Amino acid sequence: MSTAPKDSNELQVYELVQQEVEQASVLCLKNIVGKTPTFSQIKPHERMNCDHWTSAISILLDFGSVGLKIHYISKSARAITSAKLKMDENCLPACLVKNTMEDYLNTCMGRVKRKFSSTNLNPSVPLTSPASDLDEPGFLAIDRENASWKLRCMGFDIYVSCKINLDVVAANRFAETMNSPVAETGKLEIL
Amino acid sequence: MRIVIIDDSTMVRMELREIFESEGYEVIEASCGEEAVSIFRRTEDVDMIYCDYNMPDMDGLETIEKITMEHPHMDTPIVLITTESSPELKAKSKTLGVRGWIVKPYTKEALLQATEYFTRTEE
Repeated sequence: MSTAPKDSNELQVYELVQQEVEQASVLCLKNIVGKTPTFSQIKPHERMNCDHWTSAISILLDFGSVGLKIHYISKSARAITSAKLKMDENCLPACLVKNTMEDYLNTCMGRVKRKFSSTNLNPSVPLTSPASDLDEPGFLAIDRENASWKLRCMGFDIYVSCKINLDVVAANRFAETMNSPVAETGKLEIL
Repeated sequence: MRIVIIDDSTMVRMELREIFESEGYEVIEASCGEEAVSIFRRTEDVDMIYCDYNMPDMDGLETIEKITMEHPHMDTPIVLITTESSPELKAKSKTLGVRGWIVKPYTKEALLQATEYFTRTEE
């Protein structure tokens, strides 16, 4: 588990949040397809095959906000949905494929929220739209607020872009939430 | 044994249906709160409810509140399946009659365990 000292500087906070989002993106995709995807950074002039769709979600945390966007082609989304539902990918209706990718984002953000936030604010409802050239993750500024990476599974690449907006005043609260464990998933809790 | 699944994601509803039907349960799906409310206007003969929390228009707790207001004597076990896990939300859910909580991503084992636990307790 990542930990942050009480005197975390701003840059450390960005890095730690990004690490958690990266980890969530890998673990949640693994949960869908049953295999750990390969994580890699996008190379500066990499030729990307991701020009079909984007799905996006955002979340408000105690110390700022995080936006997460995935870029993918229909074929990769169909392969992922097929692995999840164990159905022939040619028989999958488009709405189901879209749902799977949105549910993936929702689960990722749920994990990030459980890690960092004590508020009752929900992640936004994930939205899917056709991608434009301007949406390509490689064209985003790579700085402390923006990061992009690639997840490879079943022969396909999913490109992930993350944007972190930090409220620097709330850095102390960040340090507190960083030291709290993430709630265990997938198990019944009796209320 | 009849289970109602309330979730706006077609993928989640399909997966849950597959899990429960493979074990012999009858499944009724609702894709939103309003649809769930109308299902309970037609029948109260339901043994278990699985409900998502974060849905557009009406969230899971609003849906449960509306159903239980219309059917105050209904005692069907309700389990929330959600990415949320805040103690405040769990406490509020408990006051509305939610009996179990599963944080997504769920597992088939947890779902079947919950169903067996609550339906056996009811017997």
